[in-house]
Amino acid sequence: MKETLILSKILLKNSLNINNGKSKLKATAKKLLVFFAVAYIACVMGFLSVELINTLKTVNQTGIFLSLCLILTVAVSLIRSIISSLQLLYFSKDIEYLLPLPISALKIVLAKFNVIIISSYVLEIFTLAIPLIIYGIYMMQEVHFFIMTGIVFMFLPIIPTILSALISIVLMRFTNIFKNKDTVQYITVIMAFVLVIVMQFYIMNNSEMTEFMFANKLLEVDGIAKELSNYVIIVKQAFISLTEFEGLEYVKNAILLVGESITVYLLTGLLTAKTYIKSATNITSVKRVKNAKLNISKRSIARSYIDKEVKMLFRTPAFFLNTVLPIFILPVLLVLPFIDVDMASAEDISIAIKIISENLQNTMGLAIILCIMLFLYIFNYISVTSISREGENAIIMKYLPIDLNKQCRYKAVPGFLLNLFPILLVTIGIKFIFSVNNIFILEILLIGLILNVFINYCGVLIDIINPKLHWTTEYSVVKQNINMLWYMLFMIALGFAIFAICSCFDNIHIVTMLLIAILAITIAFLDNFVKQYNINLFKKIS
Amino acid sequence: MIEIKNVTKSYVKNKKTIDNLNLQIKDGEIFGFLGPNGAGKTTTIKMITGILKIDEGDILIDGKSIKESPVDAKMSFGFVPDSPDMFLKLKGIEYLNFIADIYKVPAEDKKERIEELSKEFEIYENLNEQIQSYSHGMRQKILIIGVLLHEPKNWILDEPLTGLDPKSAYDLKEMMKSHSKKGNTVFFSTHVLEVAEKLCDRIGIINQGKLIFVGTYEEMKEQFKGNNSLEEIFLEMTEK
Ligand SMILES: Nc1ncnc2c1ncn2[C@@H]1O[C@H](COP(=O)(O)OP(=O)(O)OP(=O)(O)O)[C@@H](O)[C@H]1O
Ligand SMILES: [Mg+2]
Repeated sequence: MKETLILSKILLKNSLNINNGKSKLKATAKKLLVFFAVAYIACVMGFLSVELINTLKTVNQTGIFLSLCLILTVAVSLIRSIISSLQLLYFSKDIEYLLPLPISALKIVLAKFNVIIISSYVLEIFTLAIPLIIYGIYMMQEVHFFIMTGIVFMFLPIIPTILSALISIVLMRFTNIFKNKDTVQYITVIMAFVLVIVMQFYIMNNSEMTEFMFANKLLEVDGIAKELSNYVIIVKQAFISLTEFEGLEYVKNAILLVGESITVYLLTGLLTAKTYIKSATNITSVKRVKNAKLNISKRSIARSYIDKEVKMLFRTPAFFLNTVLPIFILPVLLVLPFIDVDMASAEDISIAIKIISENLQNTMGLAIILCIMLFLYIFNYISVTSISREGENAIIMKYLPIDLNKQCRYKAVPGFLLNLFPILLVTIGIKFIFSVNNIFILEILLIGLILNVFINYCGVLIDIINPKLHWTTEYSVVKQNINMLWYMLFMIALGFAIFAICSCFDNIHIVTMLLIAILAITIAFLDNFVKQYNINLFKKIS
Repeated sequence: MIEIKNVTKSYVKNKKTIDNLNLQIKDGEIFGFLGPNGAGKTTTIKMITGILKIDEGDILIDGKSIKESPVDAKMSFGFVPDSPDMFLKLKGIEYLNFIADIYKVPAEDKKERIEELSKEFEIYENLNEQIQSYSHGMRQKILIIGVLLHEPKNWILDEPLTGLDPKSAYDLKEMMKSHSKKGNTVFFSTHVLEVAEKLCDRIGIINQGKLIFVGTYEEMKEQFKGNNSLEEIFLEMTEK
């Protein structure tokens, strides 16, 4: 037991990259940043919760709120853990170091389970802890409720997480096509995405947005939830332990929940330990190739360098799935609900479009469009992880005979190219939906492009200043990278700056020229700065 | 030619990892760099190759300062780092193409050299596979071929012989000899004393960041008359 705990602790620390001797100030800054981000999301969640509870009060069904949170938690931990358990169980570098140690297979597996469970607690804070605490305070619940919330928080995600770990262990054991670890990752994540899209379609198709109807809808969802909970026993038990405070029913159910979780946890560990170790030592990510003809061709330095960047990005599943795919999927997810409008309201919409069209072609309209574009750019983390992704190999940047500022430019290119998708999406969308003149479209396109250059270059610079080079799994680079947060803040600040500039002028053309000039000058300045500052800027890479 | 002039480096304040190092590796010379673990060999090599910033002093490669004109200086050496796990997602051939493009190898030579070198190192058959499928030694070979490909005047190798099979190690040593015969420079670090003894024109021994000996093997023997083997001399020198 003690060994398992120690092991879990080490694995967790290692995967979070906690111990990397930073100065105290920086560590504090990082903590603050994380704190504010969490606080922000928590506020949003809290606000939504209160709204929802109020809506449900109108139909006297506040209990639905609880079952929604519970179902959501179970669903989220199940889906999320499929990906993370594959990653943590099979594709992290630490397996090679763990296997030779004299620790029993069971202990290794349990330690791995612990890490997966603990990482699903993080999401649970948002799906369960915050909403339930707010519910508790808002509905003036007694102490029992909060104690039970704590117990449910601890134990509810265990079974779904273990289940998904079990799924991935079974997959890896019995499927030969999955022997190649890259394929597994592509398949699972794409499946998860398809699932999310289908779910969104389903929900959107059925939703009508008046408050009362919405509440009714929720009742329907609650019906489904009730139905589901006949199968998902733990949700039912959690629900009862949070609501039936008369008698000892709630204690009984809580005990059942805890007991089942621990049993499943231990039993799965016992049953899978041997299999896990066997298949973990048996996977490769290598495709055998028939000896094809060697392709030897000469290209310019820039072409060759960018080509290398793109290949490394596309061939590493974790990077591809987390940085490239979202650029295409997320806008689609965001646009879907708008495509699927009810025919009855088509007239309202055409009126709305007309009003918007008339008011779009001014500096404020421009600012809004640019901010939408910026918002879509946020999903593109290619540049801001471009150095981190190289890991310890980043030092090659420093001995290749290419100016460091040129390498920065090359590194910004893949991100730039992929951002062309959102640019096109926005400009084509505006062109076809609203009747605006072509010059306006051209101006949007121009500013969009130069903005794209600017943010990608800045992304690379953010990553250079503080790259995350020592990582154990590729996922941690693109998931737990503080630079992505900085990048997001930077984009938000940029959005405000654009608004500020746009609001100072009335003439679109002047604003366009001004924005282009400012961005171009800043880019030139930054490029020159990198050239001057050179190796000092890269001192983290060694 | 590599000139290291009064170079000092500290990773942490007040603790000099490299302390006022002076060293000149002449044209036509194979220079072996020895020293116990943590002595500062890799640190020195990282400074020569521009990976680490030099705190004080300067390093010239063929007269070009790595501080002042880094790109020119980098053009004139080829470097094999101590850990060969690089570019794992690229195929061998893609890596070699990349290196050839970066170092501007003429198109007409490129194909010929790649084929010749990879056959020499018996890795030709694997060039279409991703480097992550290579063994340690194969990874090292692909990096070494990368260096040989652009024919730099100066070779800088950090423990190049660990992990190579006997034939490849022999080949590499022969290549080092013929490279230096053509008037070029080879600078490498190693822990294998016999290699240093048989292969190197001169050796340098570093301990705790300070150079404690530079010269030929004979000179060293002269200096430590009592001891017979290089091993004994080495142990005596570094045991303080
Ligand atoms: N990134 C770093 N940060 C702080 N100290 C470092 C770093 N890299 C190396 N050192 C320290 O610098 C000293 C020299 O290390 P270096 O890697 O140059 O040794 P080496 O001679 O190459 O050893 P080996 O024979 O083991 O390869 C060591 O004491 C080491 O602890
Ligand atoms: Mg070393």
